[in-house]
Amino acid sequence: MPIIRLESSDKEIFDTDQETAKCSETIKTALEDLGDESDNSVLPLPNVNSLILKKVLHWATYHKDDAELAEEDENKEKRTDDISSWDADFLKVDQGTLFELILAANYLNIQGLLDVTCKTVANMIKGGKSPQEIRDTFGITNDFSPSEEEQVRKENEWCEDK
Amino acid sequence: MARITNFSDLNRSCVLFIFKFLSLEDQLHLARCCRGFRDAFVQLHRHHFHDVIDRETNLRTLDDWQTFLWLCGGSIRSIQSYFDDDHPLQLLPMISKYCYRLESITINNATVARTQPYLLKITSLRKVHVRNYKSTSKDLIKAMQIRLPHITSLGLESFERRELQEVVHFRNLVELLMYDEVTASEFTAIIKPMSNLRSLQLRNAKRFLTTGSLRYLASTCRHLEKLSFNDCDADLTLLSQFSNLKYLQIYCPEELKGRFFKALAINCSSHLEFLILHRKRWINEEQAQHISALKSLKWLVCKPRDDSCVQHLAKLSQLECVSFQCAREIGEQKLSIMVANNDQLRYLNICYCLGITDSFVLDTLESLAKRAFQPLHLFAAATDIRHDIMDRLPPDYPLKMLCLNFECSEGITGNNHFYIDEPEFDRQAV
Repeated sequence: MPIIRLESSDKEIFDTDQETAKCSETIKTALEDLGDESDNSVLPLPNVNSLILKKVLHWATYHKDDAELAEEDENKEKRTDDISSWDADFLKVDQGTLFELILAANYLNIQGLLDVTCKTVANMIKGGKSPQEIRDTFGITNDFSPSEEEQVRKENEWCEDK
Repeated sequence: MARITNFSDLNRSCVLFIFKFLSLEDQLHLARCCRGFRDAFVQLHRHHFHDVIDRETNLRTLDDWQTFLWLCGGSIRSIQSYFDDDHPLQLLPMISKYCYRLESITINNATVARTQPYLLKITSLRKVHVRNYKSTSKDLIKAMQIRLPHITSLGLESFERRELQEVVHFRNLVELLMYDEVTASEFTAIIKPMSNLRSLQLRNAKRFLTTGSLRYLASTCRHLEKLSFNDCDADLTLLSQFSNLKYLQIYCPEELKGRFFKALAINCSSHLEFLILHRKRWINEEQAQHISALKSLKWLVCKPRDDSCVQHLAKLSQLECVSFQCAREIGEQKLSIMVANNDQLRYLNICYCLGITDSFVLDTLESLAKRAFQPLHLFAAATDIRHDIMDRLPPDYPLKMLCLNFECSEGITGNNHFYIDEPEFDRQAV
């Protein structure tokens, strides 16, 4: 079986099999474009560093035989309570790694990985957390101007003294 | 050392993907975190929330409503409000501030005294329907006429006669729903300037819809397409003079039925599309024969006495929605013919038609097999159809084409009309 050679942004080469590599639509398309030339060439992935690419390939190796994801209704709130225990363990990582995995899954177009990483983030937001609690969870800076914030608060005052 | 990647580093498509895993409430909380997420939320919902119903929108706090209306208010075109004065979520001040493109509002349970100042600020309104809950209105109608210049549709319920006379100043109305009583002369004064009126919906019109005022209505509101009322002593054969009438929802007294249906059959056969015989009384064979001449009928709500009536009604071929609820005596054979003859039929209410059995379901499925699309919703509470009939049938029947319900219907909708069958009890016995 042909070996696919992938190069991370920090120039590390990863050898993987075709099935694993083709979890990524981006890689799959690139390989199809290269045709026969793909045999010995190295495919550069300038947006993914070696740490993340290693994790992505680990995920893809485990999931390469998965059935394709069914299309869901776009307008419906999607489930987030269906993350498998393997994926849950795999995603016990720091937030920096989690967001890098999302960016990598998006760049490499790996729908299954994008799904499960975004679900993990969604689960950290869910459950009626206030905006400030969400900011605290993710270290987000509040960049609304004081007047925008004030406006939102003021509108409600008349109802409260009812 | 390299900076650690965080949530704010995600590109818009990733952020949108995360938003889709959240409830509206959680989405709003995320949108309040920073401008980037706010903009993502607005992008995600830029084509949503044109029509909002307060009690069906799953937001529990004023803060959430505030954020929602702040971010989506510009998209909202229509709001139906059911919250009353005691409800913890008083939304109208925020609606009047943020919903600057609002065209339609229906206020059901909030008092006019409290809502009027805010309502009058929404100058984009074209359609205002208000129930004067607790009768606190003093001059809402007059104030709307002065302050809301674009109103073409007005719905008024529980208003006093004295105030209703102000309706006369609305000259451009296309739609008027007036559910309270006035005198006949007041009624003719109200409709006098309404030559553009397309839809007039009344309830108890016994006091003012006389033969004279009905004749006046026919001559003044020549474009009228929709007319509905309950009790009325006028000569209903005059209804055949409305040459554009498409929708008629009435209660027809027993002694008038014969002449009335005959007049309709002669004059309205090409344009009447919706016939709702409110407060249903039996339709006999002769009357059914007249109705069957109304070839353009799409909706029919009536109570045929027996199969011979259904046989006539089965000659219609444009039917989309039919309710024969409570027609206890009808059988299934003629009803099956009606289904077969109407390949656009999408709604059939036969609740309380006791003689309908599984055999009707089989015949219906055979008819449906010939259709390319358009499934049929069949409401069959209190019939003799077995509840597990669909599970018993082999898969070669077009089972997906038939949606069989054993609950009472929640109403017919379509073409901007809505009708729900009255509850089953015998008014004559009351």
